[in-house]
Amino acid sequence: MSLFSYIMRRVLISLLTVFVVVSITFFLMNLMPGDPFIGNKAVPKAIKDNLYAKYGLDKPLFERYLMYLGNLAKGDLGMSMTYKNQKVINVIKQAFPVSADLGIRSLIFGVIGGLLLGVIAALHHNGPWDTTATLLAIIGVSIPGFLIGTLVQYIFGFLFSNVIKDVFNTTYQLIPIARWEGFRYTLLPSFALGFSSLALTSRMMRTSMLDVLHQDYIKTAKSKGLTPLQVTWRHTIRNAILPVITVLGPMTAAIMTGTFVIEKIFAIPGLGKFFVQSVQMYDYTMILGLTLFFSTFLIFMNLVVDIAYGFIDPRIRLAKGKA
Amino acid sequence: MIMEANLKLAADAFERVPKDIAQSQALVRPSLTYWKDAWRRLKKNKVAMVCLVFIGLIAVIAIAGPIAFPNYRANNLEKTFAEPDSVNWFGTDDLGRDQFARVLRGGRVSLFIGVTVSLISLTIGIIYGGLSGYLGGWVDDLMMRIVDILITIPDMVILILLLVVLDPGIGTLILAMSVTGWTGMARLVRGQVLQIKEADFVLVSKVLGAGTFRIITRHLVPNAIGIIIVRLMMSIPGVIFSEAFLSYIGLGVRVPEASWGNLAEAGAQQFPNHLYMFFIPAAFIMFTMLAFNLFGDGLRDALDPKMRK
Amino acid sequence: MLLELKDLKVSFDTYAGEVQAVRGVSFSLDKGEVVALVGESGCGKSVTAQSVMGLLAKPAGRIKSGSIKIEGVEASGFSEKQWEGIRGKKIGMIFQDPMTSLNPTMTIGAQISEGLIRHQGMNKKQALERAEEMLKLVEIPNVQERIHQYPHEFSGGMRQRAMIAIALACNPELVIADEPTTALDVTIQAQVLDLLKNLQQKLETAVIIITHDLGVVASIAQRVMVMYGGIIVEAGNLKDIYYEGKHPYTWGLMKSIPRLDRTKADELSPIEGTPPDLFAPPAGCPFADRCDWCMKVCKTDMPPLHKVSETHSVACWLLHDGAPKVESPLVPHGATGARKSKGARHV
Repeated sequence: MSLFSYIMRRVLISLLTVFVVVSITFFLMNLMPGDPFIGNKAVPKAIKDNLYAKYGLDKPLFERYLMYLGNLAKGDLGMSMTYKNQKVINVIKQAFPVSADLGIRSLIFGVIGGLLLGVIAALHHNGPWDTTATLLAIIGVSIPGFLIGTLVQYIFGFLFSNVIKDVFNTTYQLIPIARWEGFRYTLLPSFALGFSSLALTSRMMRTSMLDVLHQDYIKTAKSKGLTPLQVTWRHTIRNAILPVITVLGPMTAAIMTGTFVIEKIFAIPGLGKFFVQSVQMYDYTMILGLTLFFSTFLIFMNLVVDIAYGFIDPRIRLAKGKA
Repeated sequence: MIMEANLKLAADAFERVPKDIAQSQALVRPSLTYWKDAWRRLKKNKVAMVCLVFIGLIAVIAIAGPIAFPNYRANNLEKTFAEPDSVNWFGTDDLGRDQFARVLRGGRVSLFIGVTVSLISLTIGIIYGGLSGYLGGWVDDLMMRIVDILITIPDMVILILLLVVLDPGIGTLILAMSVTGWTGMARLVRGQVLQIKEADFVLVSKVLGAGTFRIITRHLVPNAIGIIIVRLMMSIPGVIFSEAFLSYIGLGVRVPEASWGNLAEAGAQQFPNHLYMFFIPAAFIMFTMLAFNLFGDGLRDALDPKMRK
Repeated sequence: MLLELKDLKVSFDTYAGEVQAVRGVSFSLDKGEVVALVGESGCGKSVTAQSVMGLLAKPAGRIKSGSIKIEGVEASGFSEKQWEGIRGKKIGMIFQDPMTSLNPTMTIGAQISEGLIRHQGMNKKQALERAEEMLKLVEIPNVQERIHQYPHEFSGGMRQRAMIAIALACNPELVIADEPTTALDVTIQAQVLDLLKNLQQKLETAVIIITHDLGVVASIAQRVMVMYGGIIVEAGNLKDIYYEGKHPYTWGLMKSIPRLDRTKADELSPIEGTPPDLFAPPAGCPFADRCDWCMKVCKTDMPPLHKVSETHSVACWLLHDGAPKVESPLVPHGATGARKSKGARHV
């Protein structure tokens, strides 16, 4: 019952947020200085009127807003202004799976690697493992994604392949540095994109583990004569992992924005690359559509994480009469 | 345990001595004020101190560097893409501009953006969060629901949107980043205010008749300022990071103005040729971020009284 | 002999230096016996208990010297593996704060079962059945339902009952209860204490109860050890301590118990001052600075242990032949008063 109201509350906030984003995006776009069709060239008035009518720009602002909402409800995000006869929604359908694939790989790499590292670091507090993990974590949050991307590209594409060329006399690339054509191609971008998540997760998990290790119930667990493995697994990790779950939302956001540069660097035909292109070409409908899509996606992911947290933590799941 | 056997005692051993409560209450451990103690712990943290020195150095470079090497815009088409040499220490770019002067200028711009955005976000956050926490009740509820919604909107999306819509430039960049940056700070400040509002020691001073002003200056500020300073320290590299990211997708600081972000981007355009153009500014970004993050960590550990053993 | 400590010394290494938390504690305990360790906070009671469980915080805490014998086996050098065989199986422990001592993400049933699965080789189902019995034993109602609940669904008193069930699950020879009632409401305190007493008699488990509350001691313990500044300053059976207490610190403790029958002459009075910082313990008697009968020798030399009777020993210079004779400041009927007040607690 209470879990139900918790979920309802989250869903409501999320819906409200989507609505706010849609409105903000729409009005911001209409605040834009100048005119989307003029650009550098002078366009005859007749053509301009035609274009305005075609895109409904001749109607009053509020009417256009309602129209826009109506179209959104139908899943229509409009036509791209730079790609001839391309619907924005079709671009998303075509490119998003690639980005999602890359994102999921990076997330799995980052989260699992980070959890492992965080646990090991906390269990060897102040030892060499701890130092390594802390260092890696701090480097991970300090290196911009484009630097890691470019760096691994340089290492594998040039240093490494030059060695292979010298030794084996072949230009075959075991780990390719660009495009998206099979498992081997996913390794470097997933690493570059997931590295900061790995750093963040390991840092969070380490802090959380150290916090739990000082709790009284760990003493209770030890006083039962459980083995260190049992204490660590059943009592420490199970409790320490809860707060880490909450960063999965922001982490998804980080990974998503990360795809903008990583896809550009590795020439991956994902949605991030389209987004950057549309920004550079001022393709307004595309920017609008993709912004909405990204926002809704993230809000949805946050919702999923929140609900998952509610199911996992008995204190939320079973909270009685608490709003 | 000593048994009562053959103990040799002085003749006056059993003379009465008055009890000495003061002695029993005297503190054996050295007592330090909060800030002195924090400073002592910070000084012990070598990594943090090295980072502090590094940050100081970067600050000096950002302030004085462009004065000493002002020609960051001067083209020299005779000498484009020159590798670093004795004249152009960091080489030259596609228009023959001196990369050393540009990196210095870029440092000034990047740090300026980082510090300004952090301070603006801090100010808005303190006012909004402080008001929300202080007023409490339905006002607090409403203000925090608004923040909840704003936080759920992905920062980067709003940032990009604003930058596409508004005229490009450093001012716009600062505005856009401040718009998205204050919500976290507001939450933090509100949390502090609420916590302190309900703390027993504040109740005690209220009972003793302390006024609002006194409670704010004596309890709220000293308790919250540590966390806020740490947050500020952590926020600066975040902003520099975002600027670099935005430059990378073409929405950051525009050429011929320089920032570390757009210098790295310009270098990446040439990649894999002219590697110095990419790696030098990228290294500056990385080491500055590292220094801020590590120093922030050290500061947090030093300021957190719970870390006191 | 179930447990025997000899001249146990425990230190903690902190950034400021060594804190000598326990400075030579000796006592022994027979099967089924109930003893109390009494003293102010920071006097070394809990650290003594943690040493007996092999639970000293590592790496800061260490046994400096002395011996701990559990059923005749020297345990001070036990490996972690050996301690695991002791904890929960031979010795159970009840902690002070039931709000934080239970794992918030595990059902009560699972938390009781764990030890059983570990030590008794039971499977999950058997362990859960036994956990059910244990919950009935500690008088928790609706066991069928409660066993599948989480700690936050339990009240403070019920949580402490669940803690007792965890500690007793494997039928240990000894239970160490570290301030088991301090964090509870006064009315609940009496209930939990009664439960502990009844279970002790029923199961014939030995109990070390750690407390600063002499009222708690009187209702449950057979023997009492008063600790101060990391050493035992007076030890004896209940009668020795309550009627014939010889150490000024014991007198102080007695005078600070609230009682209904106090006269003006023996009004409630606190002990002035604070215990010594064990970071730099005094050379002489740790209580010297707060003592109304302090002598020169008290400041310079540690008092020797004086045997008053077979059961009663005191570490105080006042009992030395050369010292002036001092009468107990306690009003003679005081001890019976303590008995009465103890009765009153349970009404």
